[in-house]
Amino acid sequence: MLYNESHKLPLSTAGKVTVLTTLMGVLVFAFIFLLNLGSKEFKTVEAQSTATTSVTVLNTPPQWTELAYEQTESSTSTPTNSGDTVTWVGTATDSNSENYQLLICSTNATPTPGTSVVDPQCGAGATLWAVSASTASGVQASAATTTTEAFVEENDWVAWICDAIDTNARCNSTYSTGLNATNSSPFYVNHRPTFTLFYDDSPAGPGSVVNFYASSSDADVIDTADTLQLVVCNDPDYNTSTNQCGAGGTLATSTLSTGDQTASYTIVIPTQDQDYTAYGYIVDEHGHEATGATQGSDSTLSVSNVAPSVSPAAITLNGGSDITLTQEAGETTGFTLQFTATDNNSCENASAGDEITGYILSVFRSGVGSSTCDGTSGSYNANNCYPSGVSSAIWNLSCTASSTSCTGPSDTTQIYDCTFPLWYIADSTDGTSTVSYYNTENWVAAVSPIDDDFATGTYSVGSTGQELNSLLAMALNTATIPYGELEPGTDTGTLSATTTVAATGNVGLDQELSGASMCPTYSGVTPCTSSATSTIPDFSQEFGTSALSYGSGTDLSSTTPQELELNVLKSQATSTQATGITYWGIAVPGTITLAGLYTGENTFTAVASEPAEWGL
Amino acid sequence: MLGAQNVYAGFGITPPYVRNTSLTRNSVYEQQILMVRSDPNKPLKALITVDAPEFADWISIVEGDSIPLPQGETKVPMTVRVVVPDGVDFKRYEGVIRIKTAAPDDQVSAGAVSISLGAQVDIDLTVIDKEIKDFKVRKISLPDLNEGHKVGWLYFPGKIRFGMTLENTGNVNVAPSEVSFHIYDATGKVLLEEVSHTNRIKRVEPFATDDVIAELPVHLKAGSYIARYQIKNGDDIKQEGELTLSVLPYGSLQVAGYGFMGLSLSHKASIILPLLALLLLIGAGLYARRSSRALKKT
Repeated sequence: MLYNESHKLPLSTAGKVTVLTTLMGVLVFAFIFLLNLGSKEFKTVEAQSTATTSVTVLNTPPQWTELAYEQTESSTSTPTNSGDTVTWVGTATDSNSENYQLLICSTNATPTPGTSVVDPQCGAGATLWAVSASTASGVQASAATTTTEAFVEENDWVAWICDAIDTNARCNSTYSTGLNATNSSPFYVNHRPTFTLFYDDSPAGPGSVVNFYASSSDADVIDTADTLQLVVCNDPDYNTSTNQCGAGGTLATSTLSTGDQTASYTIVIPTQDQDYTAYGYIVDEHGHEATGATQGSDSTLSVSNVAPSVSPAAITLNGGSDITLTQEAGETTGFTLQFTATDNNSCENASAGDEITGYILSVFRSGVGSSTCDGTSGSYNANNCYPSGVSSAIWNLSCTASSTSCTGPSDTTQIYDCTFPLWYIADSTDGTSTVSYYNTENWVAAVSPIDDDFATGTYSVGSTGQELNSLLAMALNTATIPYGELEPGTDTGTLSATTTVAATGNVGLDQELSGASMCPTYSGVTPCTSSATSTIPDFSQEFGTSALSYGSGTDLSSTTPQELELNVLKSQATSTQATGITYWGIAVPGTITLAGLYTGENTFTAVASEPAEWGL
Repeated sequence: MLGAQNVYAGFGITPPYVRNTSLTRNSVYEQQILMVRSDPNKPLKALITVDAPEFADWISIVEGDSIPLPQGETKVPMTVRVVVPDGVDFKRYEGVIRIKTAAPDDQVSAGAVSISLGAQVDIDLTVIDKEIKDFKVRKISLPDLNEGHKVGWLYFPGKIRFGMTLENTGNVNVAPSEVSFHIYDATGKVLLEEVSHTNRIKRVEPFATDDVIAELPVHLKAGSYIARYQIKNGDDIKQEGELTLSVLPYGSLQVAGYGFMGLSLSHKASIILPLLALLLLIGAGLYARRSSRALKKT
């Protein structure tokens, strides 16, 4: 509060001196008169017989019993907002018990008394701020003025009290400028700020900072320039009483400062990508709002679309289990992939539909890498890369968004559940170096979620890979071993009959071979007896990896399986398998006398070959 | 005339090995092997023989040595059980299991060299004399949760139920020593809360894979957060990563939250101390009563 020392007038004391002097004069005169100090003169008059006397007793002006003051402080720290009222109160008594009026003027120019129906007037050059109604003597009078923008910031005031009578009305020559620092002259008017432009720097995505800008100023500069604040509300519900946004809530507020204002707002996560209203209000440090078209205008906060994302830890391949192929020479279906996509625009769009609408994904052997297996159709390789870019006829990936995952606009996540097949040639990664060529790798999935605006997220590779187990599988695609017809004591000459095995799993093959002796009565439960005349011994069959001469091959054994290093490569095509041919020959002992069809059983046992021999 | 025909279209096994490098004496280890057929148009049986001279008696097939391969079934499991006897040498043991397919009645086509298909399972076992306490995190899950709530002056935090599928790769029961979360705001820049699991995490038996749950309290209001987690085995971080944590308004989910155990220490004390005081008062009262009775008797 500014104490208005410079505006205190010393006339109050002077007036008292004048009155006292006058009274002293009257008293001296009365004293002399009463002591007959002038009896000679009176006698002289008496001697002149009688005389008519007359005196006009003037009306005395009202007297202050309570000097006038501002009823509500109006100071530099607590000015009166334009449009609000400044009220003065003061109390006077009149010796004649006549009514009086409180007159508030801008200067101490002597006012002109009024009448019972005409208000007193301020002195020459003074502005009349306010005049009270006619007030009974001894009753507090109240005068008020409603401030306007036209008022200057600082306004001196001087309070007078005047008779409110028709005859001999007088104003007390003593005036008041307040009682103390907080209620004395002058009064201050706080003008509304000027607000000419309001805008923001959106669009911006959730989590980003949006700045709201206001071109604003304030003309009030006494003591210190008035500071301003920008308040941005969600709704046009700024409350001028509380100086706060209403139920819609506050978006941003600036710190109090002079001049143009900037308020920042961090867009919460999640926020749907769309336009939002943002109403700007400028208010000064005294809670006085700007007026005009810009006040309460909408800068339109535009929340932009951001791409969804998938955290590597949120990608679960095959339910956390090893991948096991169970279809030799075919596709094993039913493998699973689950991923949780996160969108800072929420999982639900502004139309209550799905925000996350698609994906690019791949399932691949880790060594291939996500830059090679990038989701495009061109990266497809049934051995090691299954991208979503290929048609379902090639890779039947099926993904559905969980119907319960997205709980509404405040939820950022959407779970996707996928199933997919893998071909039998998918590279194994299990075991050690003696088991799998790619034993140091595993299979992983990479996902890029796509939103309803076709924004594609980062292609994230799952942090937890799964081993793809070796599938040791073999198929025989040879119908017969054409040993043909042989006479006892002869052989096939060379290993001319062949069997062809195909690698129908994801490993290279060798094979173990064993077989029983042949005879017309052989069955699995009834082996052949050792008969020189009707049993062809097991060792009469020979095998090899080429058409060797009979005798150069490996003898078949019924008791000791023989491993043949066939070295069938690991199959690498879905439609054709790597194969290996085994060459067979047989000799019919010369002791055989029983002619006819001989029955036997050979066992082909698939053995995984050394990974180095898989042809990779 | 001697001839042969292709009897079976194809046969395979997966995986083609039984492998364990952390067995101890008296360990029991089971491994499943799937036998697969591409064209199971007629029933067969699988005949299983173990060729492991040193340790054949450790090995058994849970389903028996002859396992039916029914018509129409493309895959049939067989379970190899290894029971390591007490007192065996600490070393590596290798052998094979041979699987041979045959007709259920062992009959073969007359006048031909029938061909039966089979596959070989490699056995590679190592018996060691030390405990290995280790596991592999195969899967994690972080479901949404309700935010915490107040009952009177007590604040019950929200409960994170962090699911983990653990494979025990050692030879003793194991559970994570610590599961911790660093929870950040949705931008991932401002750390809001650090919490560790509060429950006793179920231990997974040797060589088994099982689902376990870590429970962690969270004191954050409803919203979306970034959670950076760590799963530890002693000083070893077995897995760490970043997940989105969705805290929903209280009551959104019909799941149980924290009870007394979730309360802060001061809140726990605010319950326990008055109860203790009450008990002390009751005890003192009873003591005084008993003492006065004893005095009366005397």
